[in-house]
Amino acid sequence: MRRGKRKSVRNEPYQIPTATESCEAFFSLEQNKEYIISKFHHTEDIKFRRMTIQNIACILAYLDPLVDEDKLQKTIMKPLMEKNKLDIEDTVTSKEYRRSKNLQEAVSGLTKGFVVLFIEGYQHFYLLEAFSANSRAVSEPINEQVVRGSHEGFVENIMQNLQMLRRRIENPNLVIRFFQVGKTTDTKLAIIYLQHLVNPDLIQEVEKRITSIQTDSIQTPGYVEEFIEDSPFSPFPQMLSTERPDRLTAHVIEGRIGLLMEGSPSTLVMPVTFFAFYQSPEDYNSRWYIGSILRLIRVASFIFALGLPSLYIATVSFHSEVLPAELILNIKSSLENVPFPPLLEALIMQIILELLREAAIRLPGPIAQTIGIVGGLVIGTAIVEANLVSNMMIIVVALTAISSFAVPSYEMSMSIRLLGFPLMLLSASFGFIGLVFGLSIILIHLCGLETFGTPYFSPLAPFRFNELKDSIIRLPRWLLGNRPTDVHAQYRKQEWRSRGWKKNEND
Amino acid sequence: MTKTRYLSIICSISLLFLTSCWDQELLKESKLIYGAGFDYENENEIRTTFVVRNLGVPVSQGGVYSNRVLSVAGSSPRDTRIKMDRIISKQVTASKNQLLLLGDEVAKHDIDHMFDILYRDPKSPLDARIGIVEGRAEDIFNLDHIGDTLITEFTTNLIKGAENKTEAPRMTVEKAFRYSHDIGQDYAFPYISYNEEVGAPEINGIALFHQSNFTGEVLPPFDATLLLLMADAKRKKASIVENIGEQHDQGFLTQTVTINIQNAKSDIKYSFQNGNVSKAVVHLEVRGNIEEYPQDHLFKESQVKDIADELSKKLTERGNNLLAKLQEANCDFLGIGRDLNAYHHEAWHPKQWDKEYSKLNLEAKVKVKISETGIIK
Repeated sequence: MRRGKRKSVRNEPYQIPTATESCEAFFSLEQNKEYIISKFHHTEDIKFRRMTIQNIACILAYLDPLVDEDKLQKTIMKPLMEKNKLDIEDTVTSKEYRRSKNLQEAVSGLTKGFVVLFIEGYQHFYLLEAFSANSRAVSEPINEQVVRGSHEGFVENIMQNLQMLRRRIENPNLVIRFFQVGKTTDTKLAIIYLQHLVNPDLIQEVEKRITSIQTDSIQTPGYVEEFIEDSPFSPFPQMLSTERPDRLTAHVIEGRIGLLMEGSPSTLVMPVTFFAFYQSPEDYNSRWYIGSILRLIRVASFIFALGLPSLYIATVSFHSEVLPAELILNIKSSLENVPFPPLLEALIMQIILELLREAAIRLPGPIAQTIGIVGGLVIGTAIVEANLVSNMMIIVVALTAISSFAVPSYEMSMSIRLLGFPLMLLSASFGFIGLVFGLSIILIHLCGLETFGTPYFSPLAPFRFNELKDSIIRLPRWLLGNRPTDVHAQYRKQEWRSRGWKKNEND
Repeated sequence: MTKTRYLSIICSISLLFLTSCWDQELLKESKLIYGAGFDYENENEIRTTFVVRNLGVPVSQGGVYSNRVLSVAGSSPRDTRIKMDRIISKQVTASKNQLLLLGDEVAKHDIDHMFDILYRDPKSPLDARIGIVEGRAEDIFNLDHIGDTLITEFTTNLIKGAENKTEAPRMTVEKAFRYSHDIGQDYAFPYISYNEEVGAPEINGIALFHQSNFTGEVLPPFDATLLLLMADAKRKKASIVENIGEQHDQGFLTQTVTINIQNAKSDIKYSFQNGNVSKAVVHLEVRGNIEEYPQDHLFKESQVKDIADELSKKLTERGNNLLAKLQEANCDFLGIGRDLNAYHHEAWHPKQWDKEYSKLNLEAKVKVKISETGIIK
């Protein structure tokens, strides 16, 4: 650790100048133009359009790729030319309008899609919004598909995303706070929450952590996640990443905070518990029995994905006596001609599996299928016939992979598979004892983990029986009267007497 | 500080890979014993027969399982085991042993001495079935297979089948240990003999034990069922076939009735004299349905009642005979000693129980009720 006074952080020349650096605008058009051009280092996509209003020369400056031509024509140029007045505020129909004499503001405005209007002889200039907001069409996120329910997914445009959320929660208490993060990219971040519901300390904490980010760029929400999460060395994801507006909305209404980023359809939810990763919006769309069973299956999948290979390794290399007599023959006969110890066998299969997954994930659909066939069928059968890996190990590894894919969250599924490897090592060197120690360490870690001051493993640790009904299973909505307590929302009640009609009917 | 941290990280990582596998017992490196038999060899030696499972070609590739039967003589079971390990490839494990057979000669000696090897090892199979063989256990294992079934599976399932039909008590290694150290409770193992006619082993009743020795007394399967009912040990099914005498006889094959016991309740009542137990009466009440009765007069209530009364009488008679046999063998199968210990402690003299038991006035009272007659009357 280096002690002593820390150097104050100053922006490097390639980064965006801080707001304190300012430059008074000039009275002459040419000087202003010169200044802008030099600030943009003679970039070639900056455009200047000369025009004359009331016989005074004016210049419209804008960055061509950022400006919507239609908006520029309809809201700025046409009104100016037709009315021919210098009363800019009443003439221009652009939706955002600012007046300034700090040229630094003009420079940063240009990078955000504003048009700057300089007028000869005036020090003041005008910033007029003409941002081109093209984005791709809204479509269903590929990694969070549901059978029933909303098929809407976030897009890369933050405004459109916020619009989706505003449409879902039509409430004046829905607050959006913007942050500009990244000294080079100046990326727009937004947090969204319900005022008067969210714990104010939580808002403060999130704001504090976001404002303390000092970096060149934020390119994906993953950057933000790594900057603001509590335990960066934990294998478990501590923020839920989702591309589904309905999922984000549900969490916001439970009193959590959503984080959106310009340029990315993934959003983050904080703080979340472990079980949030095992919930899917679909659970609430089907009958509650089905939802509950699906959740139980997912919890089982967690255990399988985590422990199955190590359990198998420990059993066949240390404790074969726990196998029933009928089963032991099958397992033993498949193991008989395999030259490797079980650990190596499992590693071979796991690595082949991860390779196949990694290879197939970025390939276009039809080729990915070929990889699936080559990998799954050809390698699978050939490797058994060549006696490199036993049948049982293939079954175990396949079951593990399938279980890990049953997790609705991609990050969690990866974390679990990764955690399987140290467990495999432990059970290969210490048997069941090693496995139990490994699982205990994971459990201890889960119980001790906190995100934004809330316990990660709630409602199991601390144990809250009443909240199991919306985490491990899902009871009907009208039985879920209270919000989960882990986020410390200001109001707990979320459902009153929705089935009150039932009682009235009987009277 | 950073140096020690790096060192500790490097150490812990290398430790993980250096541990090797000192106590590993790979399943594929082991040979499984599927059955073991003990026989009397001479004054100081025992002959142990091991059945080792061969797994040459995996079953998925068209291989079949086969047994290798080895017989070794030595001064103790462990000695024979070590000798056997010398003539077998890979490491032998007995943890999946399914069946232990004892020749009747060797069973008359203390079985605790033979089973010590099982009780001492935490990995030994606690649910292995034990059977007593008429003659030598070696001969049964040397049959190798009965039809397509290997002898170990065949015999194990033979015993399990008898257990389910309440013809033999469910005796495992674990229970044998418990009962052989219990003064107030004796036990019995299924008795297996070779049936020349079909060329296969069969269950031929139960072999009564006292403490840890075979008494030489064997109860036939029918009596075994009745005894087990008295001991409240009915399993899935229990059938009783009884000859109910001449007044029912009206032609070919009409002398018998078969009832299937639905439930049985047994209760032992004691009488005391001078601080000693003088009399014990086993009240057995069974409720059953008629499974076979070729004469078809069962629409009459009285007929059904007659059969029940007749059966009660016959079974009481049989019960008394078999209790006499038990006493003769000094086998306290019903756990009367333990009952006394628990409920009538002042009458419990553990040191004299051996003598007291055989002098005890033991009596059986069986009451049969018939609840159903099948789907025809």
